[in-house]
This record gives sequence, structure tokens and C-alpha cells, in this order.
Amino acid sequence: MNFLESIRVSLRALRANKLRSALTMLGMIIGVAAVIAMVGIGNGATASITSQIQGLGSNLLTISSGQSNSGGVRGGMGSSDTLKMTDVDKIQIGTAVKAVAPVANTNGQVVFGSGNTSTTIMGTTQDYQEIKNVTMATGRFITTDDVDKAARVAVLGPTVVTDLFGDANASVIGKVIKINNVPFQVIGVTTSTGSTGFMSSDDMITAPISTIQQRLLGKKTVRNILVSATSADQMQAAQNQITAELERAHNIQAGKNDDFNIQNQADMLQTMTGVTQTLTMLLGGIAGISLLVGGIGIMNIMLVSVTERTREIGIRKAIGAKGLDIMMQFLIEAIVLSILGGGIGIVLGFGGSTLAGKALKMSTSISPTSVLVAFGFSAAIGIIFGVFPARKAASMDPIDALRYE
Amino acid sequence: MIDLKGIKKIYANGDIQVAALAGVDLHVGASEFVSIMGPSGSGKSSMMNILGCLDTPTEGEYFLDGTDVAKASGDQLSVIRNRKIGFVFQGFNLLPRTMAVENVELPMLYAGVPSKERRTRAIEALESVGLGGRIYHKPKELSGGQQQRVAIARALVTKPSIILADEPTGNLDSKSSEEVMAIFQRLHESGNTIVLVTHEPDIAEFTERIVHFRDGNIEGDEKVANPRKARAQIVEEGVAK
Repeated sequence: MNFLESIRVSLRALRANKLRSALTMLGMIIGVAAVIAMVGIGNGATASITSQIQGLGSNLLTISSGQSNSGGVRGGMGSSDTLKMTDVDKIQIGTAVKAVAPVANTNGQVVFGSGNTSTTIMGTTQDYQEIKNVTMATGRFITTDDVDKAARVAVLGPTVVTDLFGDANASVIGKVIKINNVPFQVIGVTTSTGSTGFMSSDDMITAPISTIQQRLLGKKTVRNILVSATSADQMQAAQNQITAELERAHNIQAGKNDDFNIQNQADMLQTMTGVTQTLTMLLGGIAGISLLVGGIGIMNIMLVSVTERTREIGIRKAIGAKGLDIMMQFLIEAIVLSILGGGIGIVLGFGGSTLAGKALKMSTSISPTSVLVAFGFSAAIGIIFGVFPARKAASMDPIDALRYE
Repeated sequence: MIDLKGIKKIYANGDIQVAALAGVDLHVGASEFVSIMGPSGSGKSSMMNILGCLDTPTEGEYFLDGTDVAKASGDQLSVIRNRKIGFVFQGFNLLPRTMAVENVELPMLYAGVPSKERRTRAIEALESVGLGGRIYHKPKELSGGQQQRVAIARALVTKPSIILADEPTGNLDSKSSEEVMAIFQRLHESGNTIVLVTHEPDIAEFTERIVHFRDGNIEGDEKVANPRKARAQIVEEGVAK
């Protein structure tokens, strides 16, 4: 009997038992759909985290103070105030370093009339604009002059404008707001970057670092120094250069621990994507288990089906079916169930991840690899879990099979 | 046609060995119409299984159309059954939920006959047993006698060397039985070799030779002087509708 005839015989048997075939396929459908959707959502999460981190600024290096060490207790990173304003000038702008900006930030209560909000106050210099790609909706960013004179001027994020003035489009330039009771004149509003949550650049007030240190912090602290490298390739060179310059400025002998840390944005990106990829693998793995369960379901039903159709097998064998013919018939049934289930599962998984993406407001991406893997996997499951029942059917003795009631 | 020499079939049941066939010699010539009779346990079922190539003898030689099939493997036996033997069973053994014509096509499916030819030959076979009007009916829509006639059509559609019928009238009333025997007699007249197992003497009377089995041996082998003529008229069913 040729292959095409075998397929026809198998399809007929599946059609004869529609409900059972559909229920058996359901296992595969759910398994494959879960794998596709989970991997799609995971990939989407990775992509959105990557773009968020990249949105923090391109080729960014963050220098923070070292750890405090008092009485044998080591504090966390940045717990000692080892960075100074003078360190900023020590970092040479050149082939590797494009711009340097110190940052001193604090939280403050901001008041305008009856408007009132609590937000992050970021003290920095004019170079911050270049490093963080800050664009202005209206007005201007802080200037060298503002920093030199410790001018009480403030640049607001769009969220702050809404919170304080009740309207995102309110005309705010020249208005005087109070930050922790210190009056500041608004000189500009940044465009929205769409970022939300902790340390969002939309929910932030930027002011000259000198003003923040004098009026709000009361000390000449520098929390971080932000450095942008000229290109991604120059990140390492920039990091080496800064390490050497700051070690010299802080009189740190070779072999001693540095009193500062340099964080590379690429490292952070790698760590974060590593985390999401692990999560994706985990989710995919769990979904994979359901695929396996679906496969076992197919084997279960095929075994029942073989037993139930013992007499049919006996008849077929008596009138000339060879072992291989019987084996193919049952194997094809199992493969058709798994591939059909896998196909429907791919469609459902695709729809499911798109829906989940819409609901969670994030992009999802279905990789062709995950579709291929899921499809190949379901075909393989059909073969693996179909072989045992099919062999059982093929090896039946026709006399016993015919006598089976 | 069929030549059995010293056929033994021994079943080992634990330490006890039971000889279902204790060295049987039998010759069935072309175009014979033979019935095998015997009480239960006489070995006639074992004989039938070996004749039908469903089973191989423990000892002995079985020449079917001149080839020794006693030592054939499972798949070789499948091919022999497909080409040379047509089965008719007591319980009809049609595939349920499958139309009569498809049941008849089944042996040709395994013989690799192209689908168009299969259909034509299956319809011819069904017409020859008087079921030309029932070709698209499923087994449960047919009476017992009709189902058995579908089974006969399935057995003869491959033009086998022998048709083996195992208690073909065992599940049928006397009218249907006579109809079935009429078909066998007609097939015999057109040159088919038929071996029929039965325990009903009046069914055996329709055949031309009766072989009696007892305790795994042939007890008697007699020609029937005047085989009874099955009088049933095979009505062409369902055509007039």
C-alpha cells in the first residue's frame, strides 16, 4: 500500500471519531500555543528593556562614589562621598570621552500656587543635555552661566508640569515655583520620552548643580559623574582613561582598591537581557512541559484506539495488510493529530501573544525559530509517542486479533 | 492446489503439550468444493488457520499452488493471504462505519490496485452477489445475510486460488444460510476452489466432499453422492427502489 493510501485510511479513522480526535489535539494545541506565546512575550520584554536602557543615553558610563568603610562596616556602592566637583575637570575630553556631567540629586516638595508634587530634583551641568539626549519642548536647558552663578532656574519634565499646573500645555516659562521652599524660575520644559516609573526622565526637575548643592543639599556632594563615550567602540578606552585619571586625582596607589566605581551601560544591558532571556527560557520550558503532556495524551489515546480496533487490525491483516501497513496507518494518525494540533497551536499562540502584548502595552515578537521549533517538536512528538502504539498494532497476531471481542 | 503433508500443530501450555493437529495429510484439487466437519476440539479450527495462512504448522509441509508456505514469515504470509486466499468468517468481519464497496476494496488496497480499478472491480463483485443496490450502505444498515454477501464479495474480488469459509452460516437464519450457500455453489460452478468449515451436517450437504476431523486427525473423507442444490433465488436487492 502506498503512502498516500495510508494517509487516506488514517484521515478516515480520525474523522470517524471527531470528538476524540479534537480532544486529543487540544493537548498539542495548548502546548504549542503556550510555547509560542511565552517565547513571544519573553522576546518582546527583552526588546522593550533593551530599548529602555538604550534610551537612558547612548554610550553612557556612570561613575559613582566608592564604598564607605567605617568601624569595619562596609556600606553599599556610593555610600561614601568620594567624588568631587574637581574630579569632573580631571576627565579629559578627547578621542574617547565626548562629554562629562556631574549629577547631584535629591527629592523635593515642589509647590506652585495650589499645585503640589513630590519629585526628583536633578542638579547637573549643561553637558547633561548632550549626554542624555534631552530635547526641549519649550524654553531652554541650563547653561554654563547658570551653573557658574548658581542661578535658581529649573527645567521641568512634562509630568511635573501636569502635576503642578494641572495642564500639560500650560504656559510655564518665567513662572516661579518653590522647591523645598526655595524659589526657582522655570526656564524650560523637556519633551516627553515616554518613560514611566522610578527615575523617569519625564517626572523630574533639572537645575544647576551648584544651586542644588548650595540651596537644597547644603554640601558639595557629587552623586554621580555621567560620561558619554564618543562611540560604542570607545567605551572601554574611555573607562580605562577615567580610571587612570581618577586614581591619580585621588592618590590611589597601584594595587589598592579604587574609591569609585564605573558602570558601563553595555554591562547593564547585558545583565538585564540575560535576566529576561533566562525568564523566557523558563516560561518556554514550562510551556514545553505542557507540550510533552500533550504528546503523552496522544500516546494514551492511540493505545486506547489500538486496543479498541484490535478486530479491525485482525481483519486488515487477514486480508493481506503487512505489519508495516498497519504501523503506518497508526503512526500517520498520531502524526496528523500532533501536526494539526501544532498548526492550530501556532495560530493560537500568535494571536495569544499579540493580545497579551496589547493588554500589557508592550511589543511581542514571534521569532520564526520558535515557530519552526514548535512545529518540528510537535511532529517529533507525534512520531515518538505514535511509534509505540503503532508497533503494538503492527505486531498483533491476526488469529488473536480476529478472536478479540 | 492444496497439498498438506504430515501437518502437526502443537500448542505448549506450560509443561503440557497439546497436539491440535497430529500429522494430517490432505489434498484439495482445483475447483473442489470441500467442507471440513468435526466436533469442537477436533482440530478443524487449527486446520482452517493453517490453510488460510494465518498460522504456520509446527511440523509438516504445506504446498499452496506449488509453493511451500509452511515456513513463511508473518509479512510473507500477509502477501500470500492477499494474493491467494479469500476469507469468509462466521462473524462477517466487515469494517464498521465503512461502506460496503470500501470493504470490498480493502484487499485490493493492500495489493496496490489503483483506486479507479478498485472501485470498478468492487462494484462488479458486489453485483455478482446480488448487492448492486447496496454498494454505499454501511454494515449496520445491512441484514446479516447481506453482510455475509459483502464479505463473500470481498473474498472473491482478488480472484484468489481458494476461498476459505469458517462457519459462514453460523450467524444466519436458514433462509439467509441457503442464499449464502447458493452463492458458494455458483462460485464453485464457475471454477472457484472453496473450503468450508462447519459443524452443521445439512450445510455440509451442499458441498461435494466432506472431510471429518476428530482429535487432530482425519477420521473420514467422503464424496457426497448428490449434493443438495441450494434453491434460494438471489434477488437483486434495492435496485428497484
